[in-house]
Amino acid sequence: MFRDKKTLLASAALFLSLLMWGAGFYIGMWPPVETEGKGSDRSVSRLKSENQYLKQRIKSMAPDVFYIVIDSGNNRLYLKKGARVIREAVVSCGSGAVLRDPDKKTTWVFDTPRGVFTVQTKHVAPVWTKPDWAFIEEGEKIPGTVQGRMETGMLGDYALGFSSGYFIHGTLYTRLLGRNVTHGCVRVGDEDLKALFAATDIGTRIYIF
Amino acid sequence: MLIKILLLISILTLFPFPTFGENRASFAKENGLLREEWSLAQKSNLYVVVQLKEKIIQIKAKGIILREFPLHHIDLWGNNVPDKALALVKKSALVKPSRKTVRPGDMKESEDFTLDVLELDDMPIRYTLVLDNRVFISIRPSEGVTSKFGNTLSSLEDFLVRPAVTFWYAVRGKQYTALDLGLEKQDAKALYWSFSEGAKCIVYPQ
Repeated sequence: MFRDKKTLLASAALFLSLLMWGAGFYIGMWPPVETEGKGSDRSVSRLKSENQYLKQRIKSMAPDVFYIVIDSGNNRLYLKKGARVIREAVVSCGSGAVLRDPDKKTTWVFDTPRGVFTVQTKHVAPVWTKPDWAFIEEGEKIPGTVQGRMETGMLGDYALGFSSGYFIHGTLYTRLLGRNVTHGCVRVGDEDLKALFAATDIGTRIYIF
Repeated sequence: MLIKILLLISILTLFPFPTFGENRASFAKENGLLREEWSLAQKSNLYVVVQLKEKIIQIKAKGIILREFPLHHIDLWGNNVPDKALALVKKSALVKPSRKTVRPGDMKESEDFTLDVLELDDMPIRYTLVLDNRVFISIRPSEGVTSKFGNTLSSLEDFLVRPAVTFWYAVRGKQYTALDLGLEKQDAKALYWSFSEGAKCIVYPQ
């Protein structure tokens, strides 16, 4: 009798589980049919023409002047005009490493920022003002004066400033182009950097993904 | 009894699937999504667009297509994707790529210089993008024997688990959508790399 009751309970549980599974399967395969939502008061032809207009407006947002696209995963930079690629360059983007300052409890993440930016500054023969992380990373004492932070020749012949403190600049480590090794800046080879500098102005858009 | 239930489920699977044809509702939905995209394109952030009809995923910013990946496989389960931009809540993978932590003094130039950085090749090829409104996008590699074997296992798991999850959400009056997308390995890695938590995603229907 007990054994029969146990079997009965197990069968009931199995039946309920299968019923729930079946119901879930049904809902998953045949979800409720869509009800008309926003915009349903407009006619089909009006919706169609509005949709075409919106598609066209989104499509026409591409600048018809020079702009820069940077693929930070593949370490590629494209100088573009409209849909045309004018120049392609192998670059180095952020390493993704994390640096922690044990004293000030500050953390830096060395990613190249992603999104849309503009060229804010243009420099010829740029001098690098080393930030705090550059000293901490090398286990050196942070200098008290700006002069102590200055370093020449590290950024190549030109630099284009974007976002807050990031640059597209040259490099001494050309063998590392194509790898993610930087602290967030974008390193470019000499010839490509020269072409980039000549083609861009303050305000030129930079798209980074 | 068990046989009867299985028979009932088998019969139910023969019912026609409601399609999202060329009607006013579909144009209204597309209109809503285009308005959402227009508003996203005004900002400076990256966003992702899944075009189920054209079978492509696009990484976009300010309306420009920065990268486009073809979809080799599409499977939709559960409710239709809501007609609004959805934020990426998290990326879930079996083995997540980890960042290297630099200790002060580590980078002092030395003879034994080695590169230990986070690169595209470290990104996973099989993962789930958890979007808000309980929309789950599973990315699966579309090529290779091991990938196909892995996909079969995932499908089997989904077949067993998803109905239960769907039922659980349905009794609580909540929607649940699962989307399986097949991408080439390098494309799957590139999408993982570029699609960050907080970024928005728009899914245009089939």
